Amino acid sequence: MNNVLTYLLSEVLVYKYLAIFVITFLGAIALPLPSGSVLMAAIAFATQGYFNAYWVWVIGLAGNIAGDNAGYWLVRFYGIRILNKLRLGKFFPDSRLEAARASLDAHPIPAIFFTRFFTSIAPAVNVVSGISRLPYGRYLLFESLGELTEVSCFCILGYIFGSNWEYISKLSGWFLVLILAGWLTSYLVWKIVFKKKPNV
Amino acid sequence: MPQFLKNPKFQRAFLSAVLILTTAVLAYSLWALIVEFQTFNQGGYLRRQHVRHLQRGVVEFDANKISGWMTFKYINLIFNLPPEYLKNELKITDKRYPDVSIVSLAKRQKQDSAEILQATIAAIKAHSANN
Repeated sequence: MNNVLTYLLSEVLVYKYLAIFVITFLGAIALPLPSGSVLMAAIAFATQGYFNAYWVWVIGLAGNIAGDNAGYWLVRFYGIRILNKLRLGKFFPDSRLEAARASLDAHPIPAIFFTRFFTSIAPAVNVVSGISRLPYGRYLLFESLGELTEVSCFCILGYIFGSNWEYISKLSGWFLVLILAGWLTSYLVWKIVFKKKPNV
Repeated sequence: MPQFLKNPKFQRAFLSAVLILTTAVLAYSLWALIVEFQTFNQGGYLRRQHVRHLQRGVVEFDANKISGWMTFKYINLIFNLPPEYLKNELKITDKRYPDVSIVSLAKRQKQDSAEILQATIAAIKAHSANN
């Protein structure tokens, strides 16, 4: 187990639900924290009587949704202003932002729903959604459904595998990489082999 | 946009390079997944899970699996120890007990965490032998 995870688990055991909320919130907003593993462990602790499994699920879900939304609104309010101050605004003209918004709007399931399972990608999608001003209702719907599914999956795995959650945490990490790489490979094969004029 | 980016040959070469990279990642992740699963299976965890009961107190824990990140409160719970047992056995004076992890206690007391860990394991084994 890595040092970050062991440190976080100690905090979860000491500060309980508050720690679960803070870790899932920070993990969703941008920090690369292993919040899925923490949730799995917390549910495993619940099967041992340390936590209430229902509250772990509720708090984990609330932390994830709050983190995503905080990321979305922070970028929506301050994103362009900060980019302009850093003189990077010229790389984000309205035409590009419009194209990004149209793309997210047209494919919300792969772009928002499924990216919730990838903690390194989801914050980037939140940033793009916020900066391109994707309609909030649409973002919230797919983001919440994605988090609901993701948190439920982690909690179910933690509940089923109990004290062996650590092994499942490793397995699920590789499983997600496998899915992502498989999806990307299939897409590229389709683009190169079956499409005559590729567009990058 | 630079002109070469619009060149279909360049686009095709770029996509092919990315495809090779993703295929390598795909193969590696598949291999890693199989290795992890084999480790998991060889350790008997799947069989153990099959018969595991979820009720508190039914699952047996191995004292050797105690880790430094665990708090004394958690250890007391999973080994069904009296709340003050480890405090007395290990002569812990820290006011945060039992809400303190082994590593954190070792840092505060400027001790080696491995020593406290071993002492904890020995105390738990002694308790289970006497009960």
